[in-house]
Amino acid sequence: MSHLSDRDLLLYLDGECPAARVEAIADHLHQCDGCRFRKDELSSAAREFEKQYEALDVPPIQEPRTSLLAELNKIESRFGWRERMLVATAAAVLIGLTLRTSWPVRLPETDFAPVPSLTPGATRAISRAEVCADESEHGELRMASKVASQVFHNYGIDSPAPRSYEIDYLIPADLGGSDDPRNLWPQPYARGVWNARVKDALEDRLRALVCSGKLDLATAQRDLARDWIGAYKRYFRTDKPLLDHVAFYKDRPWE
Amino acid sequence: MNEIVAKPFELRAKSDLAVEVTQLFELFRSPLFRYLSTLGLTAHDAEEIIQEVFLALFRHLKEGKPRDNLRGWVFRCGHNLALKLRTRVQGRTSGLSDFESHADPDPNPEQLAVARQQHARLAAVYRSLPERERACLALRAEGFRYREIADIQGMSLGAVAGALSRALGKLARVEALL
Repeated sequence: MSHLSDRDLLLYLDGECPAARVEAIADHLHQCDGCRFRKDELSSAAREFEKQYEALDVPPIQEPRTSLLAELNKIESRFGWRERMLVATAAAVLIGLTLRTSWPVRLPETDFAPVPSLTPGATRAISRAEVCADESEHGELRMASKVASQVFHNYGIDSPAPRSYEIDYLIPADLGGSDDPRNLWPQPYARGVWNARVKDALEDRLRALVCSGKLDLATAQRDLARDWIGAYKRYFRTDKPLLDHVAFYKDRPWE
Repeated sequence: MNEIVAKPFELRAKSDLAVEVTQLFELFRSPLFRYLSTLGLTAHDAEEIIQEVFLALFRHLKEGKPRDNLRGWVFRCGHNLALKLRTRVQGRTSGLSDFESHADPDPNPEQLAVARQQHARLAAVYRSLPERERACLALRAEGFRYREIADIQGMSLGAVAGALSRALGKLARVEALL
């Protein structure tokens, strides 16, 4: 028998050799020092490679795992909305009523869009004069940890990463929004296109319009509560966030 | 007023399937990341592809498609997406430079220097291998059988055996010279 090829030796080493060939190869190896030596060389090269391969750096899993789970949850939420829409439509047909609900037909465009059933928006009594008082008089609002925890819990976030979210007022406090959990939702601070920074820019714009008498307070509140992204597009006459607003900074992220 | 204490981030999965896919992610992410690095992807691109793979896996399982050999499925999907990405974005920095960045843990400075030199030469040869040979070596190191390697890379069983023996032959020659 002629010497064994590297291919035969490797198939033999890896247990991938056809059964009919195994015995012949084993016999040859028993008799041939050269092929045995070559087999050991291949085996050693493979081991060395495996050692180096296994030592390759892999970045920590935590962040990518969180991103994946957030995406999966988002997909699950979409399925949830579809099912709810189907049930609602069927019910309306059955009882012969025109379906007039506030359920959004459009899918959410943010990572964590406010869910209308959890965050329909809530206001407190406030006058236009109070809204338009010097900003420094508003003071900085610190949210009670109990309220923040309740909001995170409502949205299924058990242990939120510091500085990743803004607990956002759907209707901002300086436009008369209350700190009731029904007016609050966790918004990723700088992720996604329609994020907290962009919404902050809209809030400032609406407040300026209210204070200059071009918009009444109730309309501003309603526009924010119903569909803030749609409102942004209307008030800024754009389909996507303006570049300046992507880096807009008003509210501090939740820590 | 109490401040919230910073804790590690922990999202709650909204369904059993999301839990399952996250568990599979924990299991296969590191091996897949290493494999994609051997295909020359940057860490950033590899992470992006891995996210895509597991979202695709989620849809795959949600549609009730076959569950046999999900590890092979994940690698095949990652392999195909990596090739697609590379045709879109040419000329990104290769992740293969990582292959020579690992120091041998041996504390003896002289041995350490020799080991580093050997490592560097092996790494240089490894980088010079054709991509198919590199990919086959990586999948073999991940413990895949030849049939699975063939399936992941869309090549024949004979081609896998050929690529592996050629690649290991070259690495063995370098080792013999050291």
